[in-house]
Amino acid sequence: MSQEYDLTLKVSRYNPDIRRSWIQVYRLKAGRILRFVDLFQKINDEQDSTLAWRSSCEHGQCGTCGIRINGKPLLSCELLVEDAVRLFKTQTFTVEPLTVAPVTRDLVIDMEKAYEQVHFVKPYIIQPAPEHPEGDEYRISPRELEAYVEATRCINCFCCVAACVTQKNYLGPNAVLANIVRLMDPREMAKQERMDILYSEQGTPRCRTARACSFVCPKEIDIAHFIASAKEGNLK
Amino acid sequence: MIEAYLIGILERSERLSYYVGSRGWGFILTWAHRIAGLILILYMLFHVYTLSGLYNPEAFASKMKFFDNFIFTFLEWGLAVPVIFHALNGTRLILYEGFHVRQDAVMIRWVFVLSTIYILTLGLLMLIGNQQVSAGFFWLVVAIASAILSTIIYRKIWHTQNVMLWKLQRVSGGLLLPLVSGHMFFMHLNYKAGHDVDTIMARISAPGMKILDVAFVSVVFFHAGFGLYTVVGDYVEHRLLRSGLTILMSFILGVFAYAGVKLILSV
Amino acid sequence: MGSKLQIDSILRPEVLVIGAGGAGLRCAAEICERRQDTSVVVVTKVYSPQKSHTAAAQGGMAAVDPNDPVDKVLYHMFDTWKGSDCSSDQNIIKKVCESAWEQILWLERRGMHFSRTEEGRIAKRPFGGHMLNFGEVKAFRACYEADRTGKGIMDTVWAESLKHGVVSLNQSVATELLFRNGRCIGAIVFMEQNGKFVAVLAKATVMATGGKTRMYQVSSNCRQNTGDGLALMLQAGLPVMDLEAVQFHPTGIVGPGILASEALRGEGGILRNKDDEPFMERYAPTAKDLAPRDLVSRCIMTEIREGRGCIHADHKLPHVWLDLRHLPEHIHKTRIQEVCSFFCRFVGVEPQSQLCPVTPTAHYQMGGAPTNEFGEVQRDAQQIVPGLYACGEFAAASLHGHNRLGTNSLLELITMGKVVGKRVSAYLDEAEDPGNLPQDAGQHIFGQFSDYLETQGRGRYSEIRDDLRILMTAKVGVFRNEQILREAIERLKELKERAGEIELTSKSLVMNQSLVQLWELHHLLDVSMVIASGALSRKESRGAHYREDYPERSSEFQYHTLAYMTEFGEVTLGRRPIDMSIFEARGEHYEKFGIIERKY
Ligand SMILES: Cc1cc2nc3c(=O)[nH]c(=O)nc-3n(C[C@H](O)[C@H](O)[C@H](O)COP(=O)(O)OP(=O)(O)OC[C@H]3O[C@@H](n4cnc5c(N)ncnc54)[C@H](O)[C@@H]3O)c2cc1C
Ligand code: HEM
Ligand code: HEM
Ligand code: SF4
Ligand code: F3S
Ligand code: FES
Repeated sequence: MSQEYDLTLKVSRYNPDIRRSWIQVYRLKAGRILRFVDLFQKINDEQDSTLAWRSSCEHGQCGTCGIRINGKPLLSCELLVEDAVRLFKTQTFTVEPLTVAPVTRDLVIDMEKAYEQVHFVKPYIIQPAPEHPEGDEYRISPRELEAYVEATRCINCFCCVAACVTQKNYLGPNAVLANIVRLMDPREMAKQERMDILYSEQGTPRCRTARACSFVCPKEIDIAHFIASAKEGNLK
Repeated sequence: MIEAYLIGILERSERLSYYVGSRGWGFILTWAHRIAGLILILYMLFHVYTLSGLYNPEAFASKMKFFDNFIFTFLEWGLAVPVIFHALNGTRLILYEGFHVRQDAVMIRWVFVLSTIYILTLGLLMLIGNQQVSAGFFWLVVAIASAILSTIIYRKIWHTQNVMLWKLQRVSGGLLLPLVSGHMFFMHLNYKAGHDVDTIMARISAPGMKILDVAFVSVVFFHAGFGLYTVVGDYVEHRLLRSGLTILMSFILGVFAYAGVKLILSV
Repeated sequence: MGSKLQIDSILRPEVLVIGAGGAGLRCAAEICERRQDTSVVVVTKVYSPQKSHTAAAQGGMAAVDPNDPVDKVLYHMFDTWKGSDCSSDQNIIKKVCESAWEQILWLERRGMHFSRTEEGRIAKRPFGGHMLNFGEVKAFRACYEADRTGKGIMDTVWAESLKHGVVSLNQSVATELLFRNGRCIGAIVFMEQNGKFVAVLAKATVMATGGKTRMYQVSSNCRQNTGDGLALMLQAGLPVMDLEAVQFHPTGIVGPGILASEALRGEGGILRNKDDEPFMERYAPTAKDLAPRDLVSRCIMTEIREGRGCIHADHKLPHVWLDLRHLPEHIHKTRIQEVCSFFCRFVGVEPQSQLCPVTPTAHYQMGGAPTNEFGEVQRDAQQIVPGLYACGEFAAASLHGHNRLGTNSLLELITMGKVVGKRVSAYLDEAEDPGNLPQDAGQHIFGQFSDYLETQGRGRYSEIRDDLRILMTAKVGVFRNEQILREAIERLKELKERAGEIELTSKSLVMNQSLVQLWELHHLLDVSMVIASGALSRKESRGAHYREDYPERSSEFQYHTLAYMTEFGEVTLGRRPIDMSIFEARGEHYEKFGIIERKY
């Protein structure tokens, strides 16, 4: 059952105090079901307390721990050593921060910058629909909800943004998705405002249907499908 | 079958499998699409430049002599790769984004299979080199196919709120699919004749052909121009720089497009 | 070095909210809705408020729909009272349960994606402890958004705060509360991203720093739940209440502590020990595996203690098995798919063919900063601290007493967030400006930080952290008794000393994770000390607090524990009476709200 792996982690590091970046190699033994966040903690505990990294919920619910392992953007709290070895067919891993924002230190990036795009699309209801005549909640049928419920599962981990071919002048897959959610939400009235954002130069035209977003999304959201549906004008 | 074999070969490349593993095939194909598009633009410029030799048929003939060797023939054949890949992949994208075809993996396989078939057939034709089809008939077929395809796309996407030029890009793609792949194919039905000044002159000065050629040039240059514009927009954040580059690109492409049209109309 | 420890700038919003989880942001939104253009600053330890731990809640949020033909708010109040083992405050129960549906509508109208019934209304599901007719049959009372209700709430309140232009200091920690003449006027905030200290001076300060159970080996809480808020209260000489009441969820996934929902046992999952015996039959012959959380947790721990548990091959932690192999394929595929995928994803186990390792996981702190029914923080049982408010899991109003019902927490944080928002709005109209920065502002935290940065010693952070976790789990965990609690208190003092000897490798202030972790470790130690002391003083068993030497509830302890600790280890205890206003009002069914037996 309990197998140990000899791992080599090549970690991208950056020290803001002296503005130096370098690659640091850590070798460690790890059990098969340690997660990558556990490995970082282990490095902190046993080898190098200065390595900075981020996580919060540590079970794939908050999207704090996005990172690139061998180039693939993923949640480091969800990746078990065993699975990583199987997936990448190696015990040597390059560990890099996501490319979506400037690096603060080591694996920690200035996520606030990245979040600006999500703020820009106004992830709330801009103009609420009038109440149902009989009061209480809006009535939304399960089928209506089903059309977009998958898109509401996004946790803004920015893995998709890091994977996308378009890195500039683009809102990014998750922000476009957030906009689409409210376009499909029957409670939102400000549809035209949202359309204008959606089809603007920083919106859908920047998406080249590379589908890397869908490929890497840890929540397995088919983002490309939603964006393509938006291009089709088929958000129903 | 074929595509599995092909993918097997491709995956052997370390860099490629790095991206396949980390971003998926779609990502690779998008890059390949972009690179193919850019290659085609370069070729187009070169193409118009060589064709401008037609103002002086003798000089053109001697120029063609220069290209008439194994290396250039091979390169010409190689050009089929970006041509057909870009065409088919573009079609795939149009289907995905406009026609709600979500079986992307299947489409990717078809892109590979059909491209391979096209490239091999073209190679075969170039080797055999003596097929005959009447130019008028061939171009009629291509023109009709283009008209039908672009109309289908037009009707499907024109009502959406997407940017006008973006929609035109797809419609022009529909026009170009038969035009470009057909053009390339036709030019190689009979390799010798395809490079023969007299044959070319005869065809290019036929009035029906003129209309088609002018349309061809304009559509290609629009498509290429807008494609380039979006690519630049992907990289250049600075607004002024972006506008500057856009003007520069439009100018260069405009000059070549003008030269192309003028050539067709005046030769 | 010392020169960097200074206040870099001053912010002067009207309201400062420390902690931007569900509670904090609900409060911020309420203030902005009531008073347009109120400037609100929120502080959160994570990248973005959206990442707060509320987003991890799965099950649902309890609310009685007035359109429901069978359910009544009174039943909900009763369940909450009974669940708390008669130690929650009835004025709070009444307030929270009565406005529950209103809060659901608030969330729904602002865009939360609740799951729906065929008629398009908000769907509801049953949840442990929620019953109709005073405990007769299970009630459909938990409104939910699939298995991500907390995320739905978090996204909604976060988006509302954006809409109102609430400013968020992300990746920042509140390090010291500021007072003038007993009134709270803000806090010093340390921004990790650039290593700078900001003084935030506000008319009103709301604390909503959430959970605090990271001092246990296995915990469902996030990395940031280190009890900072409580430590700040203690430092300021303010009390904390009922900390001994720590809820252990019986089925946490071994290692990471991720919750394996009750739904698994609801669908027929069986707990087994090392010998494959379905041991719950022995302890609870009728309810078996579906007995209440605290009971099941105790049974699992008994099995483990008596040598019938297993040791996990990889995590080296004791556990029992949850057997789901016999459940039919369609149940695996449709009803428990998501939770089962956790086993796959985090411990590499395939629940359809393999046994799943589970162990009790520290889950929720019923106690917290004592507040009155308006969320005003109390200095003692009678007085409040002007300008200081608290809500969410951080606070204890108290709705949960010594044991919380599932889905009641989300309800509490939304309702109390709103209540506090309303109260703060009213306060702002009359409150004076906080004035200038107090002379000694920041001295406390600068002292702490320079100690941390300058210490040269041999203590190792990881050893102390691990020792603390082992200690708390073994001695202040599911089972407690006089002797082990005393031992724990002694050991904690020792650990605190060792923590003072840790030398940091990196002396930087910018994103220096080890510095902040050390600061957090001290908080964990402080809070642990209070938990242990509270547990020692409460010589009875009540709700989640179980004393082997006093296994029964005792009327002698029919009060809330208040604890003060300005000097580590010097815990002073006080009391706050339990509000029995429903019982005293003598309304219909009032007898159900007396001191009743808690039996399921
Ligand atoms: C896995 C899990 C499942 C759950 N499921 C349910 C359920 O189904 N139903 C239910 O009712 N309840 C559930 N709960 C409980 C409920 O989710 C929590 O009690 C609730 O989310 C707490 O919300 P909060 O707003 O008080 O705190 P949090 O959401 O934890 O927010 C705390 C905020 O304070 C910030 N903070 C902390 N310390 C500092 C500091 N020093 N300085 C600045 N900021 C600080 C944090 O960054 C964060 O933004 C669950 C809990 C867990 C862990
Ligand atoms: C043959 C039929 C063709 C079809 C079906 C086609 C289709 C498309 C489509 C759909 C796009 C948009 C891709 C996107 O935005 O994601 C595109 C882009 C582009 N096309 Fe074409 N095209 C064709 C021919 C050509 C030709 C002949 C050229 C050049 C002369 C060309 C150059 C480009 C360029 C440069 C781009 C931009 C690439 C990018 O966005 O990365 N295309 N094409
Ligand atoms: C290598 C293969 C090719 C050969 C041998 C070839 C040859 C020719 C010839 C001989 C003409 C003159 C007009 C005619 O005869 O109808 C022509 C015109 C044209 N070709 Fe090609 N071509 C090739 C590939 C392409 C490709 C790949 C494109 C598109 C990207 C293209 C675009 C055009 C256009 C737009 C014209 C119109 C004429 C003009 O601009 O003046 N050709 N080509
Ligand atoms: S869409 Fe998926 S990958 Fe992108 S941010 Fe959301 S959860 Fe992450
Ligand atoms: S990866 Fe990028 S290009 Fe489009 S389909 Fe996804 S957003
Ligand atoms: S830490 Fe929350 S998703 Fe990984």
